[in-house]
Amino acid sequence: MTFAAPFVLGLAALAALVVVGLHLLSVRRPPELLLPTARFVPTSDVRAVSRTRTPRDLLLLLLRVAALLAAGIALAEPRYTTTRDERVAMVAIEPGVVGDTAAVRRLLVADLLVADARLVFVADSLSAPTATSAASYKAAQVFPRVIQVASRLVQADPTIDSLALIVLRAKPFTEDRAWWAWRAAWPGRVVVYSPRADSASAVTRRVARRVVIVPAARDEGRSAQSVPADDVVEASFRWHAARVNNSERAASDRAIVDSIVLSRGRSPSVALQTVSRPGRVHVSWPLNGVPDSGAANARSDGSWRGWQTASEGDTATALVAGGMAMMGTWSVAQFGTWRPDADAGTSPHSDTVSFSERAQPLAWWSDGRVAAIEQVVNTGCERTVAVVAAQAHDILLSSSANAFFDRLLAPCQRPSSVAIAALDVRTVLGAALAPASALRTQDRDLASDGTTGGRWARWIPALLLALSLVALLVEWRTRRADSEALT
Amino acid sequence: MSSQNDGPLLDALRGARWPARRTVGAALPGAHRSQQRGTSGEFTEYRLYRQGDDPRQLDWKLLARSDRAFVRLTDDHAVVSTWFALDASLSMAYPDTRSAVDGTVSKWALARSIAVGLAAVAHASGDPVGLVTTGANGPQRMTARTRRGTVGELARLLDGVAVGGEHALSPLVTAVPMRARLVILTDLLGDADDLLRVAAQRSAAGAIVECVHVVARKELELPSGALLARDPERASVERSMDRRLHAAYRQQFDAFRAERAQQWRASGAGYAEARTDVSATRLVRQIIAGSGLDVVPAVAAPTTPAGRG
Repeated sequence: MTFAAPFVLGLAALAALVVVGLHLLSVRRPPELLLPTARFVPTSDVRAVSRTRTPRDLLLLLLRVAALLAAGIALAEPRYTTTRDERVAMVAIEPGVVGDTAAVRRLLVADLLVADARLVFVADSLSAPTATSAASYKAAQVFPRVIQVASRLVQADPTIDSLALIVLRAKPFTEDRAWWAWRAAWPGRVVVYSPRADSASAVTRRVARRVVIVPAARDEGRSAQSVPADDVVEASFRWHAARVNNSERAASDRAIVDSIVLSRGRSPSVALQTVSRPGRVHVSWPLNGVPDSGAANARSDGSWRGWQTASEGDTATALVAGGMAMMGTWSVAQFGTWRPDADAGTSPHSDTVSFSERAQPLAWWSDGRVAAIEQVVNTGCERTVAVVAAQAHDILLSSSANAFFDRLLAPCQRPSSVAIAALDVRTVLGAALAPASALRTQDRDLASDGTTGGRWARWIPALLLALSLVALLVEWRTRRADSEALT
Repeated sequence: MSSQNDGPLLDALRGARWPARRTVGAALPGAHRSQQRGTSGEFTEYRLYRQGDDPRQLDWKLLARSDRAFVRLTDDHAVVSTWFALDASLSMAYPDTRSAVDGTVSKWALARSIAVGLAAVAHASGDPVGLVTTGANGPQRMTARTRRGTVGELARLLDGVAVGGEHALSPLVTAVPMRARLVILTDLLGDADDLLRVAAQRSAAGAIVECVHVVARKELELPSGALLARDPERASVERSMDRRLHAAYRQQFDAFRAERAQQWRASGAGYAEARTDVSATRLVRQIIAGSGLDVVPAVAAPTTPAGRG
């Protein structure tokens, strides 16, 4: 039996102890004696503190304690399970960590804490609009999504008893105010795996680079639809590339030339094959704003990943990227939306998911749907943009689009990624695992949450409360009878 | 104790005499030595004639034989009215004996028995017996008389007294005839100072005053453990006490009793202490024997506790 609010039970036990203490050590008026010579008694305190040598009224004490404990148990919301309590390790993987679930299990195999725990990967935490690149990713950003997934998990599975949080960090772990603010929200142990501070793989090299826009071959990108000669997207890329080159001091002789292939209409599945050079960035910006549906990633159980064509027309008021918003009436009518893996929160043991293949959002619509993603493919990366660019509109040339194009023109994140095997610094914060009860909400229906105990289980708290009231009533009657006997 | 239960007491006191501690004034012939001389036929002594003596008292035959004038002196005996003043304040009802099973009597019951016993002894000597008391049903007075059945009337009147009330006893005592023998039965927790002043005045005038201080055994031996002592006559007097305070309480109470005994004796009155654990018969015999009943401990009385009188 577990309790949804064990602290209530603790409070009841504490109150019972106080009652026992007061019963044995009472401050009360001593028995009254009519004494005509009372005037000869020296003046002293009228009250008398006395510790009873032999406890009296044990039945009364028993009734009081029983009432308190019964009420405490009832209010603590007991749950009855017949299955074994399970421990779950929530594995949060930051951007930049390259590997797969098998590598994570190998990393955690020596950790006694999660040796027999079920691993739950919170990979889609990166799809949150607050997610940024690996270079600027804060350690505290894992908490919101982890707490959300953990709460849903414990609600759905009553056999979960406790949870541990494992954070795979791409950069050396440093604690800041944001970390501790969110850390207080997680009610248990946090284990952070991070690379050493002197690890070369963890340091993002800052070198000058020069961006060159290379339009895809005509037979690759313009076969499906006709692309105007003065394509606003291509012009915007060139304009923003010049801006980036200017800010990057690309005129230096030591600057690295970074070619970005822009494809207008090429399907990602085909475009990925063109990414052959190391670090090459391929941007697939379909002319109609509809990437491939991703049917190739559909699974037999009905879940899918990738783009999906919207069934009805819709509009959005802003396109958000890099902390800036391009305000306007964006047509999402023919767009597809990208969804993370349906089972991202509950990857089974047998499934091996490679994090390096995982897509990372680059831009979102104002309603939170993803508008652009980046996928690491081979040694380069593929960026897919599902935005319809009006040819007669200059919003892509405005300053509000700078952040959006900065992300599209940025080098692939792979050079700053860290392999799971390189996470050799283990930081343990906290001692005890997080109890599942701390993450459960209080308004659950006992019958529907998978608890067992039959149909009587839901009535047990009410019965305990009734028992408590009956005990209090008997206690009151007992005291009344005693007082009447005294008078 | 009702009048029907006074039989053993009266039987035990049959034949007892209670002579006055000092000569009494002129009155009807009785059992007490009178200050009056010369009228009775009981010769006592001769005395030389002094100018102013009644010539009728001269022993003429002796004058004829010895030519010297002597006067025949004879003692007179007279009766003395005996009045009882009983304190029926609420404190006299202590301890409450309604549920007592150990034969404990209250101070009022003991005072009543002593009064009935002394009245019976005095009445047997031919003395008139009277009574004043005050209780919840107001002051009551029975004029001193010698007729038969007086003791029974006195007992019945005492049976009808409801203990309680806030009436002072000293005004009633003042109304008692000055030449009478006055016996005050009280616990000295009420208007004790006023009673003492009245007693001192009467003693100075030559009257006989006896004070019987009634003390309950439970006032001397308090129950153990912590308790809250409350004065039944004064709600404001509320003291808690435990085992540590018992000795201090007993010391103050002993000092109070010793001081009262000294004050009453100094005023010329007789003083006796009657405890509820002593039988009424024994107490009556001790009182009429004039033994003084010096059972009060000789404790120096530093101060008088804040009493009602």
